[in-house]
Amino acid sequence: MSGFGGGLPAATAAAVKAAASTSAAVSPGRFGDHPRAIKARCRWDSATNTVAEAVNVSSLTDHGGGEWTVNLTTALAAAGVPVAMAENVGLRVALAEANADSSVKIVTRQGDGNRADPTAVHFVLFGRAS
Amino acid sequence: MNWVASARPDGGVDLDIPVAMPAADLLARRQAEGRAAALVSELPTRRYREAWALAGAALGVDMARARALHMARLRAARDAHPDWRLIDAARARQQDGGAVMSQTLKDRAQGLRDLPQVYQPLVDAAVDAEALWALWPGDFAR
Repeated sequence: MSGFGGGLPAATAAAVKAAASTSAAVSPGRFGDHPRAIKARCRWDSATNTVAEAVNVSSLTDHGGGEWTVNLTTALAAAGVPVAMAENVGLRVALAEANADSSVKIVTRQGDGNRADPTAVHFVLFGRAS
Repeated sequence: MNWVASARPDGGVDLDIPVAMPAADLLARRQAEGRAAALVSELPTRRYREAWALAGAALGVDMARARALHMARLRAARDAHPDWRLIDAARARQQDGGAVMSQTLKDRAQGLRDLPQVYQPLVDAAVDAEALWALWPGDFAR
């Protein structure tokens, strides 16, 4: 195990996931394994069906107006904690309606409860790395 | 940009948007699921997203479903219109022995009630999604 600048040793993947050590340093390649690091993020434009920015997302599936599935490149150990926000001039609420270790379904609804597209959707996912 | 359109058992269409996984791999995955699927480089209008249909390698709008969707939206917009709610309230007051509805209000009620019948032949004659979208009362919310 090599040290960082002659100081702390590099934390193993297991040590990063355990998030208990105070005597090892986390390398950039393992930072994402820490439970406090986001496990995926994505921002997409619903009108053009294009993804503006994404991390750990293999693809996005558009099922219809106001309904998408975010498919992860690397699955989590278990279903995580998704957070989604709908960007729109009028009211749109974004909810994660199905949450699995390798995908999250996002549904956006307008004030009357019906599904409706917002301008854009922002999504982040927290959880434990597999 | 290429998307992957695939037909669902319920008659709808899923659209896969490639991010890290190449479109060709997404296409192969959908085909392995036994779905009709195709790479598409252009998308139909999203205004009738629930009426998208895949015919061979072409993704388009199924006009029969789009017309039904349009009429359902028209009825929903009519039911949510402030005048319709006002008429409902006035009718209830009248039934409770309150003020009789004015002729103006009665005419408006009849107009709103007849709206689907007025629009149906126009909707039936719409040749494409753009023509269909234009068939909408000016004072109705979209």
